[in-house]
Amino acid sequence: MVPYEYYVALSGLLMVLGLIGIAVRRNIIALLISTELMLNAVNIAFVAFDMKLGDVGGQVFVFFILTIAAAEAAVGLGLIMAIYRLRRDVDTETLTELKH
Amino acid sequence: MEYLWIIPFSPLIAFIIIGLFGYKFLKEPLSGIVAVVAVAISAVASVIGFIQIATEGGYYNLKLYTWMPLGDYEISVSILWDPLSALMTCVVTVISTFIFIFATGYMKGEPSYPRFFAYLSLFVFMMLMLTLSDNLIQLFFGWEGVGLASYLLIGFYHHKNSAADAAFESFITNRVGDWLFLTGAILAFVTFGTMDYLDIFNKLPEASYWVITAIALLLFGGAVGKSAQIGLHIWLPNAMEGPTPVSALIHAATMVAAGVYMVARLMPIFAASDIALDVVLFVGVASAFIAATMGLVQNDIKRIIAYSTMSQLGYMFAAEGLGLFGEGMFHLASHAVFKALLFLAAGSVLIGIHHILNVQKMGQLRKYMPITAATFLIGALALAGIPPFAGFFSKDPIIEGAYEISKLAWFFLWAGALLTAFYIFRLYFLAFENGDRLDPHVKEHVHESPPSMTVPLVVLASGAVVLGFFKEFFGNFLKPSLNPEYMSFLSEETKRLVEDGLSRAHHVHMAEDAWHFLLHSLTSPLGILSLITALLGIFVAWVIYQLKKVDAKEIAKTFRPLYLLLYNRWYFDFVYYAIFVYGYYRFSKILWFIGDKIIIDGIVDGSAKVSLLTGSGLRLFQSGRIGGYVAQMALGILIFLGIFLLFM
Amino acid sequence: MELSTTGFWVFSTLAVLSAFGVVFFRNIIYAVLSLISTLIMVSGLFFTMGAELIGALQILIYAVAIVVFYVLVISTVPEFKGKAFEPKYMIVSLPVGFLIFIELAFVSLYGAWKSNTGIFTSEVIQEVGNVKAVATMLFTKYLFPFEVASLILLVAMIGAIILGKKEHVIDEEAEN
Repeated sequence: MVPYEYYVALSGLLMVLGLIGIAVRRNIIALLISTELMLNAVNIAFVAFDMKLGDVGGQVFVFFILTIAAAEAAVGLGLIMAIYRLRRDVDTETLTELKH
Repeated sequence: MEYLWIIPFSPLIAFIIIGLFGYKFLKEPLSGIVAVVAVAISAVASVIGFIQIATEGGYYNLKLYTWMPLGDYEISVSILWDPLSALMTCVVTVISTFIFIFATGYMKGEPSYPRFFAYLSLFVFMMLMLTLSDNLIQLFFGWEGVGLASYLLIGFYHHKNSAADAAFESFITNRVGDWLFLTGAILAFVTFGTMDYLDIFNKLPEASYWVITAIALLLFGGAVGKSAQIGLHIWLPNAMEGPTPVSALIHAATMVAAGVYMVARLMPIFAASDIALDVVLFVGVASAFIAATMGLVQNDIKRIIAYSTMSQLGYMFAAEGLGLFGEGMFHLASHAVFKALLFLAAGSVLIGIHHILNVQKMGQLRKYMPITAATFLIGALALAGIPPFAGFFSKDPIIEGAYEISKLAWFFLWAGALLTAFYIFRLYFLAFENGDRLDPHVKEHVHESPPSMTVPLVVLASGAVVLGFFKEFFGNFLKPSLNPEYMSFLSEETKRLVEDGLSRAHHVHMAEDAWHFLLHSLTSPLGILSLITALLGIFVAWVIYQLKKVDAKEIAKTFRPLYLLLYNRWYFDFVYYAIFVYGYYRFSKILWFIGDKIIIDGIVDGSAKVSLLTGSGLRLFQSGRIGGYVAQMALGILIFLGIFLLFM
Repeated sequence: MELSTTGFWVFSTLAVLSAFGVVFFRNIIYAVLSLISTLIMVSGLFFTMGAELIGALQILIYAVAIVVFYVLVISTVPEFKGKAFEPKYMIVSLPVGFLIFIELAFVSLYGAWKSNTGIFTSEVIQEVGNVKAVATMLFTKYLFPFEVASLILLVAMIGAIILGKKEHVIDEEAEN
């Protein structure tokens, strides 16, 4: 068996990659994809701790995360469609209404 | 004795009524009438109380209302009705009544008529709170209250710069004294754990001599400010900017006497420390003499009387410093009568000649204003100390007592008496007799004042004539308050302490009966000397100003440095201006520069600049781009996780 | 080497590489393909940890259903022409990300984790099977959250439909 610490560290690495992705990408769809990456990192951590603690509660949470990720993807992509229809653009550098 | 509460609160009610409805409903005659009625009610009540205590003896201590607890001690609004406070209250209310009546005539046609009577009523209320108090806090309340009322009344013509300045000056100078007084009161509370006079008196033997001395001197500092004694006297002459009834009421009869009253009220504290008594004596004698010299050369009719007030208050303090508290209080009462008379007569003159204050521009007024002139003459004779008048019976015992206790004090008081007689008759001759120096335009309109003004004059004048003959009565009446042998509220220990303190006056023996005193004065060398002194002062004034055998201007030229010294009031004002006003100004400028310009402006402007800079700095982070925010969040996670890992 | 150990190293290496691809491929199609790869690798990792149900669900829901959304949207939105990355954020986020990873790795290796307290030890799991264990938990203790999750899915579906309705948005635009 691989020690669970390795899994947790891997989850940390994926999480950081997701963060970097959100920080650096300009395409708003890529942002959402990076979010999926971070969600997966969390999933790995959950399952790894389940393995460690001899429990299945974490897997139940992963199940919920999958569900919510699906909902998030649906709503998020719907929003991107709406934004694109309004602005004809998906570049986060130009979508800076939050600033004002 | 429960009806006594009406004494202070009747003027307060008048103040509230006039203050609320004065301009809208009461208007000119009615608001004056309300004030007069209110103060007359308290005068009647206090006279009844006076008679009751004179016949029954003893003292009454009424607690009207508990204001707030202070540790174990409860501050209360209360009335201590003993001979001393009864006498003072009667003086205040009775004289106020006449002054109020006079003021209804004097202020006729004044646009701010209701305001004036509201202030006057407030003043009387505060003054009565002061006199009736049985504890230092209420005394201080009244003390500050009369200060406020006097500020308002001096600055009554607030559109005049000089009046506003004088009001400020009075307020600020008094503040110095009040600060000392408050410090003394706090020290007394710390020492004795109570503010009630009677408890303080009975705890006196427990306290150390130096603490008592400190308390007494600090309290006396307040009295110096309030009674315009030398050092803090500069406000009184300028306070004459107020309307004349105010000068009569506040700056002659009542408020300035508050210091004298306070020292008498707290007599056991002062008596327990001979240093305090010496200081009181010194300040009193110095004021009596110096103020009399200042009065010699002034030309403003009201200022001359103001300096005379200062001087006479000095006599009272000197009496108290000598241990002759009864004589001091008797002089206070008689002085209140004849000084109010002098001021009101001066006010009557001013009304007659349309507010010309300079005595050099008056003259021959006796022809036009016979009643005013006659009453003024009576007041002047009383002030000079000519036998049948009140001033003689109250002032001469002080001078004679001083002779037996301290020769030096006697000399200055005696010289002061000579000067007093001179300056008041200088004023009399210049204003009412002498040549015809009146402006012809004014002369056409000169007239005797209306009855509302002359009647109080006549009443006060008859008071000044007869009051002296009650010398024995007052002496005996005040004994339960001022003579330790008769003071029933003192414990045996305190009595012994006080008697030791007053031992300096033990060998003074004066005839208590007025007739015997008169006889004694006319036979003993000292009495004759005093009498001759007074007559000499009058005679010199007569020679110089009536007969004009000697030209006053020539004398002024011959003794020019002295004249200038006196005319400039011993340069007190200049020195104070140089040290305090300009010094304070400089100091303020330095503080302004350091404190305001550098520190406060630095902080204020600096904070603005800092927020501006941080704002424009932080604005860079507010990119509106989600990725940027996430990057910042990541940075935050990094930092806090790092801190957590490093330090936990 | 044990199978699960080999599986971990293989899957994890591929998952990380694909994740790098997700983040750093300029072309969004490549990024989505990398995401699929990552998701499959993560699913493999789940299998190595003995979480068969989750691993299967990962492939079914994530790698198929969700990614299909992305592909659909990407096909609707025209090709992204601008620069893929923002260099100034690259400068900030790469070292920051690296340091966070160091910290997270430190935490995971030396963290004071809670010791074994659960009832589903590997023996129990062996006995009843992973699917039954998770399902028991899901439909007993977490029944209410499960129902709420279904409600959220419903709401998200309705929301997505409304957001995606073309005419509605245009109407709003016309009104403005």
